[in-house]
Amino acid sequence: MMRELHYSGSFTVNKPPSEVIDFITDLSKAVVCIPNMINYEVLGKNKARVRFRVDLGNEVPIAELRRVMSDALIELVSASDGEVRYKVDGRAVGSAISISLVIRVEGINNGSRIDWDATANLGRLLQMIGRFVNIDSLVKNISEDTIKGFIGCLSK
Amino acid sequence: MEFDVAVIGGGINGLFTALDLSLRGLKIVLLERGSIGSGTSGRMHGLLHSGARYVVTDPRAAIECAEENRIVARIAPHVVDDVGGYFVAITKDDLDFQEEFISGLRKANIDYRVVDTRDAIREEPNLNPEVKAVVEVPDKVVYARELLMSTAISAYNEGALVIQNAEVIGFDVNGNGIMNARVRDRVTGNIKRVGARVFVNAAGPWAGRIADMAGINVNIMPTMGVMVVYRHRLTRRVMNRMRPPSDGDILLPYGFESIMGTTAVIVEDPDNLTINKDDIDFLTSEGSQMIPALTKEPVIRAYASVRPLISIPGATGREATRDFMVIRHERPSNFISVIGGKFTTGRLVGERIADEVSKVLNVNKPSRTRDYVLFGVDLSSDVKDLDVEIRSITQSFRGSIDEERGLIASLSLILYQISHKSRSLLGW
Ligand SMILES: Cc1cc2nc3c(=O)[nH]c(=O)nc-3n(C[C@H](O)[C@H](O)[C@H](O)COP(=O)(O)OP(=O)(O)OC[C@H]3O[C@@H](n4cnc5c(N)ncnc54)[C@H](O)[C@@H]3O)c2cc1C
Repeated sequence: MMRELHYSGSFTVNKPPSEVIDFITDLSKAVVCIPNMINYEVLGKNKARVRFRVDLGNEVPIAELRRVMSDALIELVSASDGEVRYKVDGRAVGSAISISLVIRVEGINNGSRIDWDATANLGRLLQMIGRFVNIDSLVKNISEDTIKGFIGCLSK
Repeated sequence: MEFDVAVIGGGINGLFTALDLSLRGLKIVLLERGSIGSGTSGRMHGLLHSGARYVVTDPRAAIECAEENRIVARIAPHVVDDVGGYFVAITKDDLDFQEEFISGLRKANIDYRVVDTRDAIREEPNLNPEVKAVVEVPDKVVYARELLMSTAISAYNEGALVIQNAEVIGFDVNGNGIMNARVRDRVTGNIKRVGARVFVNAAGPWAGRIADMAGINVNIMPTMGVMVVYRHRLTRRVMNRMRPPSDGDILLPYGFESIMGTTAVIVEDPDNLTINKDDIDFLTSEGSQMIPALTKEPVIRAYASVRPLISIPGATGREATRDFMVIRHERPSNFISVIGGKFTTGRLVGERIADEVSKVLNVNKPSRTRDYVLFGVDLSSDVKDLDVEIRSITQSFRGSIDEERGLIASLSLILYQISHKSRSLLGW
């Protein structure tokens, strides 16, 4: 049984929408911005396999479980009219996680505004962590770290 | 036969509890469902932590490890190899961590030395030539089974009964307290009752089940860690990745072999662990960043054990769950559980549990384990009622080609006998 979680947010960058879209639809450029990357493999234009460390945070009472290795297959599902859709299927701490991510890019004064909306499905084992740590703040921290990574790349 | 204390679990925590309480003059029985060390303690990584690994994330645990590292080396020199350890920075991120790491080492008062990378490579020729920084710390290797058996035999020598193949399956509760543990004798299949004034739950990842038998509701999440054993010893020292604790951080020389660990995978049942080829490949790949030769080393085998994440009434908040926690339950009032800990801090855990038990039983004697030299340092020292034949075998290793390797064989033989004697003293 998977548990569904929704998250959304927005941020701005000082690049025009066309550049942002080019960047996020080119997986070979985008995946390297994932924080704590261990390695990755681009499997064609729309697919990449990545291995990275996820920081589950100091709330987790076992030191070895605070930063864990995860694998994910990232697929660019569609890109049109300023909207890009990704599907991410991954595994962390031996449990499945799947994420649908919708990103909308809109021009603003001197750059772009990026709205994102994610629906995450956590496998049963991963849900168990929820008894020990607050999953919402955990996912929020992970999303914020990832977005920081993207902003860092986009601002270069 | 009525005991002062029944200790459930023959891992590092239960064994040091039994020894500590026996040295305080109490009548102890230790019940272990399998053999001594058959749980997590006999399947750990082998590191007697210097504390360095935890200085940034868990400074309190780091200080405890640092002190216990010195104590265990003193009371059990026959099972500790003082090899030292390197923390190595391989990537820029590792290097960025160095300042915080060194400041943590200073605060925790852990001896360290920044080593010139060229000197480090001279000392450890298999080290990645691209290594960016190296810090030396007093990590040691501990031979797990030998320490566990030495502690069990010492506890027996001090009067404790050590019963293997004795599985606690329930309790007889009367009013507010436990009267007896119901125990399945796995040798005969019979169900027996063991009475005691206090019951200590030191069942490691199975502690949740034991607490459940006493009517205490617990949440448990077992997390499996895998270790991979390679054919040859590739380093003199323990190699640690200079970064916050994570998976795939440590390569340890264990006798003639090398052991790489660990992973973190949530599992449903601590008795049902499956190791994937992916885990082995991951550990080899992470380890090879420190020691590139690892990719060419034959993998002999892999093994796994379980860390428990448990939330239990009486343990609140993040602080309480840090490293280890001794809980005296309100109901049953003569029931004490221990959650967590490390192999390195097992003696300290035993001392803290024994302090708690002493309060319940109004005993006013201090712990003596920090200065008590364990059995096995000198195999010719006496074990109560040891069979002549066993004594003659164990002593024959002395001065022979196999003196070092004879230690584990001798301890196993003696453990067999003390377990046998304990059973007959219990009337089993
Ligand atoms: C992968 C991994 C690597 C580790 N490496 C290190 C390391 O290098 N250094 C370090 O310091 N620490 C290490 N640790 C931590 C350390 O191993 C543990 O903290 C420690 O061994 C726990 O000891 P314990 O006595 O609590 O549990 P255990 O050793 O699991 O003992 C509990 C005992 O209770 C018994 N039991 C269970 N149910 C019953 C029952 N119903 N009746 C009777 N007996 C029962 C079990 O058989 C078991 O023997 C590691 C842990 C893991 C998981």
